[in-house]
Amino acid sequence: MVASVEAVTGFTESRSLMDFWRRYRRNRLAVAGLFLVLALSLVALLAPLLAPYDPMSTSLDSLQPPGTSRHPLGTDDLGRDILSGVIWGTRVSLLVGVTAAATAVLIGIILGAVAGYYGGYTDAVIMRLTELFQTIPRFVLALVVVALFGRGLAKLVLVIGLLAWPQAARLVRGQFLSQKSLPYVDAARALGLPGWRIIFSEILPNVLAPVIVLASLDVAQAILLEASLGFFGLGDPNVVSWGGMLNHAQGYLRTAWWMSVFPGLGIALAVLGFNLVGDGLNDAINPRLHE
Amino acid sequence: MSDLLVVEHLTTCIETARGTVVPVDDVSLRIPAGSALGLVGESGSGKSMTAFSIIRLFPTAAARVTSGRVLLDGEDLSTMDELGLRRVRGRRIGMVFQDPSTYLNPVLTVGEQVAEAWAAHFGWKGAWARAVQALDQVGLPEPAQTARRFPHELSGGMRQRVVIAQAIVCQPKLLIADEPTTALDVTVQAQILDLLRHLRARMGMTLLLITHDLGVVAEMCDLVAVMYAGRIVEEGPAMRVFLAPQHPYTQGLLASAVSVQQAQAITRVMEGSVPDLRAPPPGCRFHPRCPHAMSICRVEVPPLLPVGPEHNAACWLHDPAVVTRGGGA
Repeated sequence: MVASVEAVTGFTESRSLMDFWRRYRRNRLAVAGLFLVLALSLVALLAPLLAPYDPMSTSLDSLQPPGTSRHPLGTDDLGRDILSGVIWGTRVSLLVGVTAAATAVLIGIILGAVAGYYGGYTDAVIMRLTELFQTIPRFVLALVVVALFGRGLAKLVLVIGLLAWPQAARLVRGQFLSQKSLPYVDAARALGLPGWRIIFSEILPNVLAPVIVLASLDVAQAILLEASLGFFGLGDPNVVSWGGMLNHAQGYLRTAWWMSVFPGLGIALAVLGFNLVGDGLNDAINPRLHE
Repeated sequence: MSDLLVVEHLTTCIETARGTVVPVDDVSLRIPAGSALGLVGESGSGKSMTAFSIIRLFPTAAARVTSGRVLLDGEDLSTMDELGLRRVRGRRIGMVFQDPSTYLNPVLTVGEQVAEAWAAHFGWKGAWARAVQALDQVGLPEPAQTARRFPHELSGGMRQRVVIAQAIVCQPKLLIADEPTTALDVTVQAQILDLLRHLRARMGMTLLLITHDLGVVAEMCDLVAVMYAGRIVEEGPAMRVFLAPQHPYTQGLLASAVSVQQAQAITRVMEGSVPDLRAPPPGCRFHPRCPHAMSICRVEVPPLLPVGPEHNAACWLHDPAVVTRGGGA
């Protein structure tokens, strides 16, 4: 007993973080994904410094192929620099992806936690609502909403967030169902803690790990959805986005491949990066799953 | 001396797929302010459910109090709404549970958990300082540093001290301790009992101690109530019950405890086990195991009969009418 006390008292919070990183590092692809995400974030943050041109400004140098020193990735039909467009597009994609995923996860956490903790009638109502949202084809509803209410970054974020929450809600509900019968919850109730405190400060920290995994996968999904909407011409017309660039490149697929390939590559890398990070987090949280 | 806690005819039912179980059946208790009552019985006798019924909080949604009253300081808890009960729990009735490793939240520091217990009733202002003070009161070394630790960094005894700190941080008048030492090492058990006794004396708390360990009751309590299969079978001042047990079940319980301690050649272990509460035997629930069972015991439930000053036993042996009739019907 005494020996085990001394053995465990060396533990600190940072130590468990180190453990986590050690487990995460074992998955090479996850590390690559993390670097990809970090690199893209850096590009997004430093876009004004990195981009050689204003991505919106046109010039007479139209449809230049890539490889020139002035336009390394070429120009589009209006003479806009592709490299600058891809760099600024990173900013839009990550911003929409992260905030939309955060919105979805936030809604999912609140509804899932309330449904799981209170159960009964509350649970039934929330879960039917969740199923309703899951049966609606996401993309079609997004098209309808954007077409009706107009386009704009904030609206895009809201639409994507409102469409993606059911998955998080189901996950959080399931976790709450298994946690709420644990003795520490009874103890919290016996101490007179109000319900919302038990939900948010006692149980939620215990179920956050799988939610974080889902959040990173949701970011990838949101980036893809934003690009798809942009491709169909439903993105924010006032900013340069990868989807918007693809939309514009449709007419030049055979004559100017660089107009579509580079923004497409951006989408692929961002989605890949967040998916790899999500998988890596999942493996690091449940190390037994893959042994 | 006025009674801090009065439990009157408390009955709790649990609905299960295979019928209704009555783990607490017409239980009455009174604990005078400042004293300590030990509620003893084998596992499955309904001791813990009695504690849960008092604060009206059950680990399962299928359980509910069906009748009876619980008076805390004269105030009826049975008619209170959920908000009123929440204000009683933790603030006026502290609860210490059996297994400190599962009753603490694994992802919060112990300081946060004690502070949370205070903040639930008095707000966050000064909660951390109050938590550190409570950790100091329960004898944890370097309370300010310990408060930043997680439960898994502490030993079992230290964790139980944290659970006690949570229970006493709001300075409740009544402390309910449900098997507070069962999950601990023997040496640590003595320290925790010492701590409880010390806190009780210093804070003037009334104690309801639930245990299967008669030695613990003898050491800690002025009063004792013996529970069997959901009912109180004997109650009275601890010394009187231990020296002159009047119910055959209490006698058996004491005999088995004493014989183990003295390592006698013939260990007297009670035959049988606690009956299935889904289908309890009729009449006195102890009659299938009772060496003195009479015919009336199989039919009629014995009431608590006076057997001495403040000392009652629910056994037909103490009803002169029954005994003279030679065992009744």
